[in-house]
This record gives sequence, C-alpha cells and structure tokens, in this order.
Amino acid sequence: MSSGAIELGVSLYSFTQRFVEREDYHVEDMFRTLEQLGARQFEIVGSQVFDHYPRPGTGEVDRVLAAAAAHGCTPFSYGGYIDSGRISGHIPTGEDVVLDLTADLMTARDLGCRYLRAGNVPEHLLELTAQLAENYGVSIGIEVHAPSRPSDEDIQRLLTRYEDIGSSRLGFIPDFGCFIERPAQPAIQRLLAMGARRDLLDYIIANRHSGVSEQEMQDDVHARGGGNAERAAIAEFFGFLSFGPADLDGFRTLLPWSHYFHSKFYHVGEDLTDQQIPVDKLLTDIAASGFEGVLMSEYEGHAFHLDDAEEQVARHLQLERRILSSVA
Amino acid sequence: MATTYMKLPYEDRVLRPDALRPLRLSSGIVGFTLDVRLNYYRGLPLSAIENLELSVDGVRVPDHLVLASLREKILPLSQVRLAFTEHWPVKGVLRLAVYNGGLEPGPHQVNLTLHLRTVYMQFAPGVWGMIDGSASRELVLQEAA
Repeated sequence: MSSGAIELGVSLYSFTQRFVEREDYHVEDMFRTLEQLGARQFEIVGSQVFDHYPRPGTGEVDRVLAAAAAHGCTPFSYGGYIDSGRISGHIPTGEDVVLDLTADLMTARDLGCRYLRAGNVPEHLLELTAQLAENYGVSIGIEVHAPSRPSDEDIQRLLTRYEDIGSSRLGFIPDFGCFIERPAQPAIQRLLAMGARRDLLDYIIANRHSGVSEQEMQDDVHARGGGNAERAAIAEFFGFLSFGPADLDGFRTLLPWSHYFHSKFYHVGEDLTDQQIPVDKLLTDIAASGFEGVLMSEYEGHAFHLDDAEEQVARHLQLERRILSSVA
Repeated sequence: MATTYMKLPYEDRVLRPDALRPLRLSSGIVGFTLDVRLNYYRGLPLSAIENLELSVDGVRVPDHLVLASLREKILPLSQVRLAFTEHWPVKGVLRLAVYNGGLEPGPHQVNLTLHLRTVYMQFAPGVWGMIDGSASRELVLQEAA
C-alpha cells in the first residue's frame, strides 16, 4: 500500500489481544488480515511471537517467512528489546546491552528486515551500536515513546550524538503515542467499568500537568477515596497513555534522523477521525520533510480489551491514506 | 519513580477452567498439576518471576512441594529465579506439579500470587517495573492428562 513515496505498513503488535487470548490465532491469521487490508510491509515483535527469545529457532523464523510470503507480505522491521534485567539481582552492564542488540540483529537479519527497533541504548555504546548495525546490514532505530516527548533533554542529546557520529545506521522511530492530546474515550470507559469514580478520573485528568509527581497523585487520589481502578488510571496517564499538548516543534527536529514511524493509535471513529492524536499534523510534517519510507500503523487499543483490531487498523489505514492524498 | 504493578486485561487466561488436574503416577495419585499462563503481551524469561505463591482452598502450598516445568525443563521454585535463558512464551504454559498427595474431586478455590519483573524497564539501579500476573479462580479438578 503506497501513497506516493510513503508506504503504509502494519505492526503485527496491533493484533495482540487475539494472539494472547486465542490458542488458534497465530501469524498466519495476521498476514491474512494484512492481505485483505492491502498492506504489505510489517513489523514483528520477537518476544511476542516466538517461543524462543532472544534467539528463535530456525523453524520459527521459517514459519513467519512462509506465512508472510503466502499473503504477499514483506518483513520490514523487527521489534527488539534490551532485556537487561534478565538475571535476578544483577546490575546490567554494557555487555548485557550488546548481547541483546546482537541477538536481535541476528534475528532481524534472518527475517530479512531492514530495521531493528531497539530499546534504549546508553550513549557511550552508540558508536559500537552503529558498527554492529553495519556488521549485520540492519539499521537500528531507537523508539521515542510516551511518556517521553521529542523535546525532552535526553532525546535532544541523543539527536546531537547521532549528528556527531554521522552514521546512517542509527536513527529514531518516533511513536505517535508521544502526541496523545487527550485520553481516548475507550480508556475512560474501561476505567469506569473497572469501578473508577467519574469525579476522580476528571480530577486526575484535570491535574495531570499541575506539577505533581505520579506518586504524589497516587497519594492524593488515595486520600480522596480512590482504589485500584483509580491507581491504574494514574499509572496509565503518567505512563504509556500520558497526554498533553502535542510537541510538534520537537517532532520536526527528529525528522531528518527518523528511519520510519510508529503510527500508534488507540481509537479511530466511524467518521475516520482520531480524537486523541493529531495524525493530520504529524503526517503533514512528515510529507513536508521529504520523507520516503514507511508509516507503520500500530493499534494499542487492545489495552481496552475490545477485540476490534481488524476494524480499527482498516480505519486507520483509510485515515492515513486520506491525509496523505490531501498533502501530496 | 513508577513502581506500580502493571496488570493487563488478560487475567482470565492465567488460570483457565481446565488448568487443574490430578498428578497420577504408576503408584496412584500423588498430587496435582496447575497450568499457569502469563497476563502480559509478550513472553518473559522465567527468571523474571520475583514471587510465586499458591494457595488451594485457603491453604498455602509449601514451595518445597512444587516443581515448575516449562517445555522439557524442570525446576524447584527456589531455582526459577536462576533460569534466565528460559523464555516463557506468551502463549506458553508453566506447569506447577504439586506433590501433596492429591486433591478431592470437585471444585477448589485456587489463589495464585505471581509477580514478575519487567526485565526491559529499569527505573533506577535495581529498581524495575513490575507485572502483576496474579489470578484467583474456582477450578474443578479435571481428569488426569
């Protein structure tokens, strides 16, 4: 699926709920859906789909490749992790980081992926990371993910390091979850169904950016009578569902060093609008930058347990296509 | 510092309705097995288990009566934390074999406390994100596998 020089792909992570809950649902089913949606490029998360990780068996890789080929799909990127907390009681060292990067690069190479999406790499290992990427012929992108924002000091420092090192093997993968402007309605509905009080949810949302820490908010809401549901709400809204004014200026600084984009989303309405993430502004900036590559749609609304990934991904692809055609 | 235990909405799959079975050997029934699955979106190394406690009908099962098995590997609970090269897949089963002499046929209240380290999420040296994989369910003892 291509819109000019920008191609639309799908992260298989989008189908997490069915993969986790249904014994009979596997990668073959995901690729069947991608074919129906007209998507060709995909990202696969090794620690999710493989029985052996960080190094899957040959048979596991072959199964993915055969299933993808059967539905006309092409591996584009590999979702890796730096599981440096694997050894109980061990304080991780650079050796742990290099081991996991190498294992994921090997698997990305075996799959034929152009990119490895890696976890955080310490600054002092970035030059070595570029060399490892060169050795394996797979470029490495470090994801910029909520609750981080592109303008954050550590992200901007990473950008400077990329510029200093000057290797095209290193780059960013901005995740659109960084740009959530307001909580998604299904998130609110799920928290209410868990037993959260509406007035306390409103209080948490209204005071998210009042300067209090997550722990201070937890203590405050607990004192106001909040329980487990409100505790979960605070953890989410200070974590992966953090929200606020979209940092578009910061986003634009990352564009020259972006390998591809995680077009993360939580809910697209029947009218093909995303009320949480300003995807139109993000895509307009991407197109204006001259970017040629892949927008990887990644649905994470399974956090709300609605088993609607196929419908949501279809809507999201339509939404992106419409925006791209208007800015072409 | 975020140390909140993350709990995803897949709790019902941790202890499935057919998870509890008698452990029958040639000498007869010697205990029971309990199949445990992850409440998470990805697999984790077995060593991520920081706390695993099992109670049946309100009685705590002593750790020394339990052997945990994943695929062909078998470990006492005390050594699970050392199994850092064993990946517990998100679709995989950790089978707990409890050598307690067996359970009466019929329903049993099973309470599992399962806390796991989020091995890729370190907030400070030695401080990791945590996953609450616990579940409680009334399970009917099935036929031996």
